[in-house]
Amino acid sequence: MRRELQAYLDGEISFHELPPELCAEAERWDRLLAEVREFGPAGAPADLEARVVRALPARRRRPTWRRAADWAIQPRPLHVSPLVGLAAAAALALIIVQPWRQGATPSQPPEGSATIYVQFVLEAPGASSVAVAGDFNGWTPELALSDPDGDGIWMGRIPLEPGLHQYMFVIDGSQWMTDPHAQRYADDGFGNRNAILVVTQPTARS
Amino acid sequence: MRELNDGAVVRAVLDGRQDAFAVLVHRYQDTLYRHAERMTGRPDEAADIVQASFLKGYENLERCRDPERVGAWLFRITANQCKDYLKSRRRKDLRLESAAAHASEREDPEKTAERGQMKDRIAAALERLSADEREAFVLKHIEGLSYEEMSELLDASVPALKMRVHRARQELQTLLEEYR
Repeated sequence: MRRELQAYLDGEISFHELPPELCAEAERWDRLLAEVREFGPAGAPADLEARVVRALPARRRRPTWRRAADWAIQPRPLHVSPLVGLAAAAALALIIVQPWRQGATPSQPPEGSATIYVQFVLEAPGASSVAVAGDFNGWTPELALSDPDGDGIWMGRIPLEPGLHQYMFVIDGSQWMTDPHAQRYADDGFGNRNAILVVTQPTARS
Repeated sequence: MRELNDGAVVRAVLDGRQDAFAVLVHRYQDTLYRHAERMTGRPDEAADIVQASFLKGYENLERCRDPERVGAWLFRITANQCKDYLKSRRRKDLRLESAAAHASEREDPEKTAERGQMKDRIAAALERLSADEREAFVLKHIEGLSYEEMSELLDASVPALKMRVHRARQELQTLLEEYR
């Protein structure tokens, strides 16, 4: 087989780059490979998943010391409040001893508005992106926080309706992280916890 | 409920949540099965291979170095199981000669063509390939992976994979006659 034809079939050159005398053979290969791609099943048999799950032996829980060691060595961004977050690294020690501070802080809405702007803050040094995903956006990690000064403290104001919301942070698009400083949590069914945020409509001032 | 990423599911399984492994089975069974059936050409064998691969993955989950990419890790296990199966089947065929009819059919592509089924001809042609060539061809031209993706998946160099695909295409050249 000519090298140009191999290159075409490997996707390295386009059809138009082929010498004219190879075009007919390339078209035949295209038709054959299209036929080959249709060869085979669309998916697994319907009972395969149940078969596999039934066959799984019971799994021993990892020893506590091992889980504790994993927890200790796994990088864990620290969530801080907006008040101390802006003080950056110097305030980090202070934040650690104030776990009651929240990373999601509702602020006053504009008068007459039902939407509350909630300030989310997360300290995630080394992260390329941080987003908030929750039941308010279909758990899609698209509400991005920003870190304009590059100090590792990511912040963003997100409009939420009054009510009870569950959320998590998503670091670098794939690492889901529970807010360690939420006031309440809900089990997500897989051993992790979603943070719960209660957004209330502030009462009118007299 | 939102979808957990693979790393979180792996950690849940390692923490004793056996049921969480079903999430991985659900996510990857189609991909693994398609590959296994294309490699073996036999649905029952493919299902057994995929089941064995999931079990092997489950029992060795601590050895998955990158839980976020557990799908690729399970694929590698399945791909290896498929190749082992093909090699043992080939040895069995040679030793027992029990597939004499099958072999004679393979030696006579025209006989297969008489059935008029291109699918059968493709299956027969793929069966002629070595396990490595077949694997490379399936990933390249059926699964649609790039050579770089294949290299990462199979832990083989791009030039070596290109050579396997080229050899496979050379073997399949006779099929082109159908289109002349």
